[in-house]
Amino acid sequence: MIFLFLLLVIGMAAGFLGSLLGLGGGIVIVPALTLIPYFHMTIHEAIAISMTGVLATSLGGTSRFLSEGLTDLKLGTLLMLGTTAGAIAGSLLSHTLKSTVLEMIFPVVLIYASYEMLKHQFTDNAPDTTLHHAFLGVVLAFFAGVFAGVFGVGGGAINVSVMHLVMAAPMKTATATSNFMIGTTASAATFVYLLKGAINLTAATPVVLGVFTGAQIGSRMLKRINVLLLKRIFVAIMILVAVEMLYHGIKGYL
Amino acid sequence: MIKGNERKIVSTVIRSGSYTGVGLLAAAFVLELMGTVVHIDAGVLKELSLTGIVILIVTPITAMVSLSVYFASTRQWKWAAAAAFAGVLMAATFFVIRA
Repeated sequence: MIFLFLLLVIGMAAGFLGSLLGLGGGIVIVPALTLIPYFHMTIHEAIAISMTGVLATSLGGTSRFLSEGLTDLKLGTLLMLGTTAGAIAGSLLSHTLKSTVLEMIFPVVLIYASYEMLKHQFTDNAPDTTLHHAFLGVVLAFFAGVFAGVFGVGGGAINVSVMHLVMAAPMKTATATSNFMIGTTASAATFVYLLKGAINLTAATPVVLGVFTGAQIGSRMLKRINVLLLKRIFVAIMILVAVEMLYHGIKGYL
Repeated sequence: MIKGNERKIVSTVIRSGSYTGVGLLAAAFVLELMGTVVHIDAGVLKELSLTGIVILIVTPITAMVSLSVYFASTRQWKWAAAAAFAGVLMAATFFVIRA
């Protein structure tokens, strides 16, 4: 029973932080499940569970962002062609890689996400609403999908960067649309994991419930919390986790 | 503030799907906890969790289909085709992998 409650709490923390920081939550779930020895989970098991959680976070967030009129469904539809194909490729690729290799690559993704998060604190400009470089956007969205499938994260940091920095979409629109896209990417990848029997249903159930509940609480508390401070704390945590995971990966490889 | 019917339609589909899926997972979780006191068939719990997750997986595809239908009904053919293609791509990929 303690096992289930711990998973619920981890899911809630991931959903809460994810909704406040615009992440899917996988960036919290995967390190937590692999680094806490109590769970005895490999990175493959953790990624499969995390992807289900990311799907739940996205669905909860998308309905809120649609209600607020922030999501650009046409932009999302266009880029989704790339991310869906990329997620499938990534999910298949993750099974051909060794856990230790993933443990060495994942910290790089964490550090990149930290960098993006810090950068976007200070550059919240809103360029014109005309979309540019649609083809390049779709190609880059494919790679965002591959990242999502391989690492069990939503790929939100990459999606937002592509829409905002390459396609000149306003920051808020990019974040909300990315949330919508994460759902379809996670849906495709979760299906692959489910068919491969990689999802531990007993563990996934409390994680998804926790993530969904945490995301609901986080979205309601967003206005009352100093998000800038929260982002800085979260970046510090991500860097610590990245270093720890890299150490694990190198130790396992040697 | 929902601007445009397409947002309203997609929002309704996503909200209905996610609450149904999460509701089933919640039921499975409660039964799992009750299982420490009374005997509950593990197969039932597994089926509930599985159904919940499958509903969550299907929800974005359903949203894409409804979006495509909306675009077609408003004669936005290019966007209807793009949304339909995205939905078909997902569904076809699922089918290919299952096979």
